[in-house]
Amino acid sequence: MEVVNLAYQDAGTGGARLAASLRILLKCADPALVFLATMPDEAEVARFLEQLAFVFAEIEPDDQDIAVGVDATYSAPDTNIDRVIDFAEWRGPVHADHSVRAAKRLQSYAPGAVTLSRAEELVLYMRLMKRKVRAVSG
Amino acid sequence: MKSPLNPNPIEVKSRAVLMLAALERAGVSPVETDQLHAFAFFANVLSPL
Repeated sequence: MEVVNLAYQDAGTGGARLAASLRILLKCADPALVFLATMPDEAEVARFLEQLAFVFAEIEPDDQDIAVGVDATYSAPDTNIDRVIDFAEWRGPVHADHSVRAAKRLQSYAPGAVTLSRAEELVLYMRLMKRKVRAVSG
Repeated sequence: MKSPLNPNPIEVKSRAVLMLAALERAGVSPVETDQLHAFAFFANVLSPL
């Protein structure tokens, strides 16, 4: 991991926080990534993250943080702000987030003979977030 | 034991590495902490897909 930039940033109310820019050096991380790829769960997570990363990259860097604010789960009043990042491992599909339910609803807008794959639902949902960001930021 | 309040620290680190690797391959690099938080948020809420 390389820290490209590290600086204090004004956090308002007289406080400051450390803001960093990071990058992973793939050549150095390769042994760890190869090892993780031997574990089925981690390999599945890696595939999902790669699909998400490519569509996340379509959102302008300055808008990526705003996109969180327009997401269906983030903006839902029943979302617990203390929840940890758990990759849904402690929740069943019945308790899936609003974002997943919204992504699944996109199927109903697809032409009759078309069944959206998981990757297509992911891409369509993230593109919807991109459009919503543009709508709220004018 | 894994639980929402006691995640396995090795698993947390491996997921962080996987997230940074995915962003690097997608060209989101270097990544600002705010961008990484946003990406982690979407990864979390959309993972059941």
